Amino acid sequence: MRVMALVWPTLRGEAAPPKAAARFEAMLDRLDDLSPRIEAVEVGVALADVTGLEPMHGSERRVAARAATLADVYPVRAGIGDNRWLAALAARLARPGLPATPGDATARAACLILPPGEGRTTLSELPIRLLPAEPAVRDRFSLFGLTTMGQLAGLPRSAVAAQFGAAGERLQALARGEDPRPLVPRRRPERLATTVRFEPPAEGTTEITLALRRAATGLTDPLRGRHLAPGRAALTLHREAAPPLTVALALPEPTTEPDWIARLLLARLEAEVRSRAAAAVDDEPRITAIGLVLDRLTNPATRQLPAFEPQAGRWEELRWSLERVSVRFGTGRLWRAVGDRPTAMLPERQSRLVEIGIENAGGADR
Amino acid sequence: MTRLHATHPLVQVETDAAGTPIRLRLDGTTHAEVGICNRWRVADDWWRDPVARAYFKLVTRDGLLCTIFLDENRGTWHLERIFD
Repeated sequence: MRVMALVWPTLRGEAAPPKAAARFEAMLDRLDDLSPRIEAVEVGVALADVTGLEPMHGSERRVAARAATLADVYPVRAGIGDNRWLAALAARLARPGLPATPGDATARAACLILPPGEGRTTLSELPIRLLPAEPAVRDRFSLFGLTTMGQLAGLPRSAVAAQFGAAGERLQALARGEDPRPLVPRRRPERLATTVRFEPPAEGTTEITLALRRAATGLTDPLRGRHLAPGRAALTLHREAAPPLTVALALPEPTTEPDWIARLLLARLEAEVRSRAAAAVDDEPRITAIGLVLDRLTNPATRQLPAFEPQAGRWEELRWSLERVSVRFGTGRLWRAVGDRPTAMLPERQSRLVEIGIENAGGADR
Repeated sequence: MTRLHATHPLVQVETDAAGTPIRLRLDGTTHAEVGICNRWRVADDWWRDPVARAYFKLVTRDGLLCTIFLDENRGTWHLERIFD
């Protein structure tokens, strides 16, 4: 197996930019085009199985260059080796300016390739401090006069086990360029997207609403059969002579009800447009297309919410469920009892019923 | 479970000389042989819109268990609650 390690130093540590995790995920999505097996080790570190990619992308150096191109927003260090340890070490040792990466996008990339089968030879002269050892173990290595990986690799395995235990054995295997840990590819998050174009461009909200409902229905219908429901939805308005406007929202719980998804998105869009309209003086541009994206697919298994336990923080969840029932069966069927004055003398003053399904309901007494 | 009739529909009540219900007519049905389970009075809001009610929790021969009250200001009987 040939493994490529990719490290984005700027995405790691405390100096990482905001939303580093999201940007990292986006880069991983792009890397999926390069290799079908990508492992996200942590934010800023990824491994890719690059075995057998030569016919498609050329030499390993070209594969690394392609990876650097796909993730060109941040400087990347790439390393290729026979296993994940060698690949990670190569990425760590890579320095910018190393040769031959085609294209300008890789100018900020560094790449080091350890030739196949030469891991042990390559490591033999490297300092032992490069091994991922505990400080105490590292101190004992120096007490024994071990300074290079080659020295540790050359010792009898039983002697290393006797002196340093299982951890020492593992480190010796690494020093010999052996790492049995497999690559654990991530599952690419499924994402459903559709676009509806308007010709001529739409001006009113009615057309957009209808198109959005149709688009949501088209995306959610197949999901229902797979017992999946999206947990997030995003709507993009492509406007005439104006930049696209995108609103996204995390659904309170996964749902496959297209009307509800459309309704929530439109409400969010309305709020967004209203806030922008306060600052803008131009007329609202016409809409040439809308794009709908659904992701975070999960099993929408129904859950029983405890009705008589304190609902701190869960009322929103319960309200969401009840509102959906209200939308399905019509208004005037679901009411919530609000205990205003539990100690009132007259029962009709102790509580009142508030209709569920009307936002900001003032309270319809019953 | 009980059903609270917050609108307090009118009921027809026949009382004895002491003012205790002995027969009740509700939704076109007459319930006779009324037994009184409990009774109490509520007087409230005397400083603005006085409320004075004589409550009776009663059970009829056919199993209806309910709470009715006499609005002492208007002299009308009302149904307040039916117990399942």
